[in-house]
Amino acid sequence: MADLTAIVDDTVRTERGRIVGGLLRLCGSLDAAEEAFQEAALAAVQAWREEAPSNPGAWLMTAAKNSARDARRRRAVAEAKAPLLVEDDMDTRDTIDTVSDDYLRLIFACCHPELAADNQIALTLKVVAGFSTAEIARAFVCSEGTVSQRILRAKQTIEEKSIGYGAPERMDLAERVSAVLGVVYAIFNEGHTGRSGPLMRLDLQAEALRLARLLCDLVPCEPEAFGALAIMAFGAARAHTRVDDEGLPILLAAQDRSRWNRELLREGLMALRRARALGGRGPYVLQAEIAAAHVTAPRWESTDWAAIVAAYDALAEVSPSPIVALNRAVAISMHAGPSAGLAALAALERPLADYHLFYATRADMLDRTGGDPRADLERAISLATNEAEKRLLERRLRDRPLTRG
Amino acid sequence: MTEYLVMTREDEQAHASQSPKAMSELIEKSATYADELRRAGRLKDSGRLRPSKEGKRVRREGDRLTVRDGPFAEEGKALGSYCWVQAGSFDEATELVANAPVLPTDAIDVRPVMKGMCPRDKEAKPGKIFACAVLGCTKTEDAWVEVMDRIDEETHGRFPEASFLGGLRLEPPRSGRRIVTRGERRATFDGPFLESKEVIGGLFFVRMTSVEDAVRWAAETRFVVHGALEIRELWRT
Repeated sequence: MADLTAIVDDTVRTERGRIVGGLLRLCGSLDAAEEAFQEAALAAVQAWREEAPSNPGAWLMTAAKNSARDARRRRAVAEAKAPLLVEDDMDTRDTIDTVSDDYLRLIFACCHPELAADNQIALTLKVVAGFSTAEIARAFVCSEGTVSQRILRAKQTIEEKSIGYGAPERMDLAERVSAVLGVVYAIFNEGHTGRSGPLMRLDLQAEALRLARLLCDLVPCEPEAFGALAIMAFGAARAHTRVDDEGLPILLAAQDRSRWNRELLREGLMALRRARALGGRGPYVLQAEIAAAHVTAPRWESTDWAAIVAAYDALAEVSPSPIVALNRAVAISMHAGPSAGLAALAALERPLADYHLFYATRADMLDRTGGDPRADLERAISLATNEAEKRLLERRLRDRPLTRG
Repeated sequence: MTEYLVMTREDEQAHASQSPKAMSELIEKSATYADELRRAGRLKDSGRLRPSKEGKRVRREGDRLTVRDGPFAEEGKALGSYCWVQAGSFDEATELVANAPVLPTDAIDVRPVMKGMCPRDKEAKPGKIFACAVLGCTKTEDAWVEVMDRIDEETHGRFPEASFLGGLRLEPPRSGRRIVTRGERRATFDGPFLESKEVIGGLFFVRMTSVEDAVRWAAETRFVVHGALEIRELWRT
């Protein structure tokens, strides 16, 4: 049975979220739910040696519920309560709606706004995605101890703040979804451009994409979920064209568009269609509009900059930030020329004084107007933390005299 | 008003190799087209299927249940989208779809609906939505109708209530029409399309957590005893 490990691993990973979510409703604690799931996964390795069940997911769910029930009995006995008083609500048949609610409950708890951002990410990757502590540590280039601490702190916060695992309230859905999207997007970005280490971690990106798809299935009327899915699908479609053979980033303008993944582009476009149909004009949908304008342009030169500037104008209204303003300035420079871009940048030097891309951007615009970008490039190099980005900036500075002649 | 099911049969390769710009334009045109039909009060339901390579075909041969993975194509064409419309006559229905945004390699089938239960808010509920196409594969129309009747009797109550979203049964293929693009023009052919091995006899919709779940439920129905089911996930639109 060479496949056995593969079948178990595969089932454990794909079924994990909804099963732990279901157990959460029954156990009332994340630790107990995870423990019961772990026991079931171990039992599967034994039991499936003869033959894998026809419905591995259902098998795991039943086994996990049994473990949870046993654990609860043991606890009841230990606490000297009559075991018969333990309420047995584990046999209710799951419908697609209860399964969805279970899943959502788990995701909402892991991404609760009360949790610190790094702790949310660690807990989500561990509990929902089923990454090991070692895998998370590798992906985020930190020690396993740090990851364990983050997970522990996240669980403590859930206990202390009595966040609880109640049924997802449909009322503040948009707010809760927004918190989840923040986490999923952070995972995606970590895979896209890490703070350190290799430029891209495709497994993180793939997981973020999987989570975004899952969220769209769970809350199919939230436009922002579809907006976020579109952004990530567009990003993933370009992933393999973003880095050259030396590991240096290739800017959008120079990427080989013919190599972008059409299937992922279609997924992004369909998600954006859904977001538009739902009337979404939130930050993720607007960013998806911007990304769509980029990926549908046959060439960099034929990009619809007017549409992009308009989307940035709207974005600057719904979620103003210096980064949005910086990107808007870039779009303006492409639409109306580098002088207009420099004018739009003027107010941003103070809020972005420590951000390498501010200087890299201004250097580019100065270059285009015939100014001297060297001071800005040097500043950008001294501020950049990603090794690959730093090398790219150094190359720009080094190559300058040659291109300028 | 009579109801018709309009289905596009697509060369998936042609769709997959579209430029991103062409892809985006076709998606936008399809959205506009559906909106116009809806505003005119002609649209009951519509949907677009994800690529057939993600789909499954389930049938029973003797005691054995066979599940085949996609892609699926009859004469190089796979079911791509559907539109459930209302029209005063067959000609009017044909006219309605004459301007449907498709690629030149696509064919459009127009088939009268015998009866149906339209899914309401199928996009609004959690889960993945699957379109299940009931495939009949007999040589003659009489046998085909009989097979579909038998399947029809078994339609209801086979799926969990929360999962079943509705569906429809089509009139025999002889009453259908096929529109294809020939050069600059579109040409129309009348059914029964017996050159096709497997003709769609109906379509129904279910909500499931995965395609594997959909296959498991389908296996318990009678559809797969008398014919076959092609299970395809829908894009949410």
